[in-house]
Amino acid sequence: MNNPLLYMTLLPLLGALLILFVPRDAKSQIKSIALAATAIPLALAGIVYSRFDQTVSGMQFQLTQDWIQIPYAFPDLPLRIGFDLGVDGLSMPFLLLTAVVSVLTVLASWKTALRTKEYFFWLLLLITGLYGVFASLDLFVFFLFLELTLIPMYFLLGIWGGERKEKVATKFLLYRGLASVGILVSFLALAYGAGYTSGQMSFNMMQIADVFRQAGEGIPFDFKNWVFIVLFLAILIEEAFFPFHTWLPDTHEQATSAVSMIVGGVLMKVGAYVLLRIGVGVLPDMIAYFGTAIALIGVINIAYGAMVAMVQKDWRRLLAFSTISHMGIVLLGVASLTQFGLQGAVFMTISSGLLSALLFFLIGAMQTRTKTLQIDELGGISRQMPILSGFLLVGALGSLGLPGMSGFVSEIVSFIGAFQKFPVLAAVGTVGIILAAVYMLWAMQRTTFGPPGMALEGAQDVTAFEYVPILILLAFIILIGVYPAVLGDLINPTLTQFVKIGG
Amino acid sequence: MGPIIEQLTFQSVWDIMGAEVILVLTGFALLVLDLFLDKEQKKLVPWLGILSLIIAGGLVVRNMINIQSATEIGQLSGYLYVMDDYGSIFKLIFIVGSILTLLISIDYLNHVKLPKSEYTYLLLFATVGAMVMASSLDLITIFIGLELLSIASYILVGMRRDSAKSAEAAMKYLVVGAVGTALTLYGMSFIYGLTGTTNIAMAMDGIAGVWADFEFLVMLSLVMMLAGIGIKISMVPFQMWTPDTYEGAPTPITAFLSAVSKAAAFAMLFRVVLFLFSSHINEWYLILVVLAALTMLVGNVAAVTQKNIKRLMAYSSIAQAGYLLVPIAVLGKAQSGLNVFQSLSEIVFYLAAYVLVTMGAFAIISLVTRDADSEHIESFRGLYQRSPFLAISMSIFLLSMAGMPITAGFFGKFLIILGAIHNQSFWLAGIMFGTSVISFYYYFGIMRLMFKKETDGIEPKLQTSGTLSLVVGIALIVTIGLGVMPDALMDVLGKLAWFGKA
Repeated sequence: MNNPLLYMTLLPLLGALLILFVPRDAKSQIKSIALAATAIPLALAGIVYSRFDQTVSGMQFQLTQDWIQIPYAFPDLPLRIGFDLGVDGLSMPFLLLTAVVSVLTVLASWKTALRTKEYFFWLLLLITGLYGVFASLDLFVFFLFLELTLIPMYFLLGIWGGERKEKVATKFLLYRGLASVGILVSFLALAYGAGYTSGQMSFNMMQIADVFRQAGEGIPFDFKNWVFIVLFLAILIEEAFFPFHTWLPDTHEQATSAVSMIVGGVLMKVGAYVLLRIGVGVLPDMIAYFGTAIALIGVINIAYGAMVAMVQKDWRRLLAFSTISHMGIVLLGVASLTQFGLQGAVFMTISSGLLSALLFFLIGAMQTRTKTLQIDELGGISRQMPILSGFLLVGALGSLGLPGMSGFVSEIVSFIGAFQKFPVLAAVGTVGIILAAVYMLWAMQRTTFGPPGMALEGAQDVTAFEYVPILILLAFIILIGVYPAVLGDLINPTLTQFVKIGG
Repeated sequence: MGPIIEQLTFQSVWDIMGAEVILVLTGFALLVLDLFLDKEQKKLVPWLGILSLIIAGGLVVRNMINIQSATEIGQLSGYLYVMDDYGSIFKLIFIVGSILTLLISIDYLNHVKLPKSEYTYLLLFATVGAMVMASSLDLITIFIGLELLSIASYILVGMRRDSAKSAEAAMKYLVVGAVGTALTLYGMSFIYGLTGTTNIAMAMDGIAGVWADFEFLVMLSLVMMLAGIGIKISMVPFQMWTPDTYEGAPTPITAFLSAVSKAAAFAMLFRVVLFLFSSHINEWYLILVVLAALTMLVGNVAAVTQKNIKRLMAYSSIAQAGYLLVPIAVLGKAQSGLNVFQSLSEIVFYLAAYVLVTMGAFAIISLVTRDADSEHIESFRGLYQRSPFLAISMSIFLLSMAGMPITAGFFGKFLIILGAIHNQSFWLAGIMFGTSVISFYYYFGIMRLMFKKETDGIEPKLQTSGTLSLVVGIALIVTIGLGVMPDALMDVLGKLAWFGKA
């Protein structure tokens, strides 16, 4: 049981339970618990990373713990559900992302005055769910943690959100709940498919992937076909791809900026993780079969997200659509099923997570000063707050893919991969990059330059406290931008394995 | 017929239906005692009922332990009544449900003037009826069990004689229920006519033999029995009575109907319908698939607009019945006996979770609606400030009904979906999960109300009574316990000798 992944997953939960026993007025104690319950997992994530063997492709730091036996589910032996955790080159970056963003989210929530105790309880519960999703190897455990994220999100949106919070919280719940349906049905179908192929049923993702790999054509095409369609539809909803995207702009608009950080930074990357882990890991032949369609959906999202982002009047909605556009690139990269394409997809996901967290933090900081995020009401804030405006500009440039930052590498690598398979679609997709420059810079210009949109007498520029999240996130963004190998070396062995299967 | 009579010694009856005997004797004793007890003493009557139920539970557990070492299952009068684990596990569910109902009732009866003795012994008789439905292998005996449960419930529903709503509820339930039992009996008569026996095991073979020649009659019988049982489990399209009756009945009785009575009907449905007509199930299972899908849809969609908490729970219970129909409906595609046991264990697990959660939720509903003197869901507004324990407990019960993690309901629903996928009923699995997403809307809606902050903040704390806290506590422990360690029950289910020794 002495497993760092287990502690990472359960410490936030422990923190949440501890908070229940702290009186509601002891706000500093509550916040300290929350910080500790996220900082220790971050340290553990660092340790796991430093001891992680980057030369092999399999699971490391494995925990195998029997949990439930289901009788009668499969001939001869009861079906085993294990609290099995593990990390490989694919999940490592996601775990690190969770670790970093969750600590910074706690910091960004430091000033939460409304019902502090409950806020941090739900936030920590959400963080446990996110760790669990990326660390679990068992389909049941994965699904449990995925569902677990719904409950805290409902309250974080519904109690601390904006003026339309209740509708949006319900919308979030229904959309993500629906996505879970598809994910669960396809998971169980995969498990039974693998079970009846090998004669031994298991919920372990790696074992299921192995069975599918070895059986190859042995598993009926029709079966894989519909399972993949169900799974892919679920991912489209989960990842808020067009035409199932409407919940994401609403969520970002109504959530507090701290909640938006963790939603945009981590929660929105779960769908991409499922696509890579199950889609590419278990059903690569289906990705190949539907390649053109997936790439097309990717390109539609790149273009649609970018074009709709241009006409947004609210910064939060603009960023939401920009995320949709970026995640379209992930689909394009995955569809190519090349080493470059998959690498680009992971890069893009992580980069978009870091940039979303940074940008949502920055506009949150801006909002506390300007009291609005409507782009027409803003203007000229660079005079009052040159440093904040500067950081916002850096974030925007990163988002539109300025060389030297993570977005650039992600886009380049994804498109190199995509050009090998879908030259025309990839070429159309690059238009998205140009559009990104347009909407980002145009919004920047209206916000920071020009005549001041409002009186901001006495507004403070970036405080020392705010520097922490900004600089940490920027450091990671630039690190990946100038030294991509830090991420590439980590994920390559695992992705090579995927490409071998796919090819 | 000679040997059958000879076999009925007191010893054999005690061995096989000791639990029922205890409850019936207690019921009659209370009936007589009622004449001699004064007002203060009558307060103890429900406790006597609980005591007899606990003893009965012990006797059922004794039977379950005995069967593990027995060479064959115990039976009475030529398999009229059997002692298999199928019946026993259901009986345990009924007994726990009834104990909790009585605990809620003790609090309820302190505030609403109802005859305590009548109330208690009727509840005991209803429980016996449910137990007979689960353990009998003969159509006539099963029918007697059904009638016992039904008649006792009609009276219990209408017990608030000063309330027009209660009278209306009882009237509706009586009329619809009577039609249902009549239909069931009529359907059974076809079976007897076609096969010449009322014993389920023998009739099952008989029906397989006459299917080709009398398919129409067999199907007619099936449909009528489905309709009769469908009324009891609130299956669409026989659900119309449910909201009115649930609303008008005394709250603990609503809980009883929603949990125990429904569980009994499921025990009967599985034993009677599935077994009698099992030989050609692949020809008629689509009826069940469609009914299950409709029940889930109607229950969940109709619940969305409800503003009365008891009506909302009524529709929610319709939806839950739909989920419970899924394991039965998917058996149409079953490959082997394994699938039957899988479905059974799903139903038992889900029912156990459901009964406990229902009881816990109704305990809180009983308290909150009485305190606010209104059954509108607004009564729950700000409950978290008035009583954090009740609000958190209620949230966990609602999460369990919605099928959210770390509750028994999550694992129960997962099991049902797993079984549906195993039987390749992908659409039904999808509909089940899709409709339960609709249910998020109303379950989370109540939770949100409870956690809303009231502005004045001078709301008085809500006082709970000891028995209600006990019910909530038990329900809470089981709901979370089964959610975190489902193995506690799954292990038992894996070892059961369902229909006797294999």
